[in-house]
Amino acid sequence: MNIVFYLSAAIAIAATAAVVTGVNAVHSLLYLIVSLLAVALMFFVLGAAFVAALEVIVYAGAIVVLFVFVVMILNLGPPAVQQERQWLRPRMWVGPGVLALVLLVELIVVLGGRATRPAATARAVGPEEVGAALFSAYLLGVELASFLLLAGLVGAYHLGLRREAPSPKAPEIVATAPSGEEAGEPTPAMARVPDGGRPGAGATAAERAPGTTSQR
Amino acid sequence: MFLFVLTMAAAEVAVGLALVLQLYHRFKTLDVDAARTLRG
Repeated sequence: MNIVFYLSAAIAIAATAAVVTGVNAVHSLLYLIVSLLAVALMFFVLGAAFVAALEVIVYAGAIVVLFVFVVMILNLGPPAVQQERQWLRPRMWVGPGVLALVLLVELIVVLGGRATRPAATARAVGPEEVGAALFSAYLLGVELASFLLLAGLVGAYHLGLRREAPSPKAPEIVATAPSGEEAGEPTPAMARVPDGGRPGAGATAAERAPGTTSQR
Repeated sequence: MFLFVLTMAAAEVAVGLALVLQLYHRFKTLDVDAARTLRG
């Protein structure tokens, strides 16, 4: 069973290296899927079959799909490939790479110094046991994770709003919004800016122009 | 433990990709150097 573990670990490392050094975004994402499948296999070998299935379904099946959606929306094309080739020249990564290599050597020395090595096969943990633990011992963590997901959802929705999108709130109320409003806020400020398509013409114009508060 | 890492990765990817989309929408490029000056 050790050979399976080490082989999939080598595949995961090689696939992740291909993700980092690739110039085409979609190719990098495909290598990322391979890397995640290798890690899922490692989880399976260690006895965590439920976690391995979750990794494939959630990580490779939802998160990487999200990445693919965004890459397809951006639709960068060959100029982006040329730009990535330019950015990935050796001159760019030699410095940080050498420092990271020193850190890696340090890590191996520190981890190799520990004499105890765990057994190759651990206890198998099934979904029922995971569910029972989540509902009893780790309940607080589950609630905090749901907070985090809600914050991520609201944040991603707000950051994903386009400038031309209609505002969900009434304009009179939003015009009196505090100046701490993020620059991604759409149309209420646009109603007073003639060239609404210009980047950065949104909320900052509302902050700069004192006439907008007359809406109060 | 891994479940929490997975949840955090999902939330982080959602927010990060929204930021990437907003950057591309404003500057028409994904070069972060295009966003190095403050307004005004």
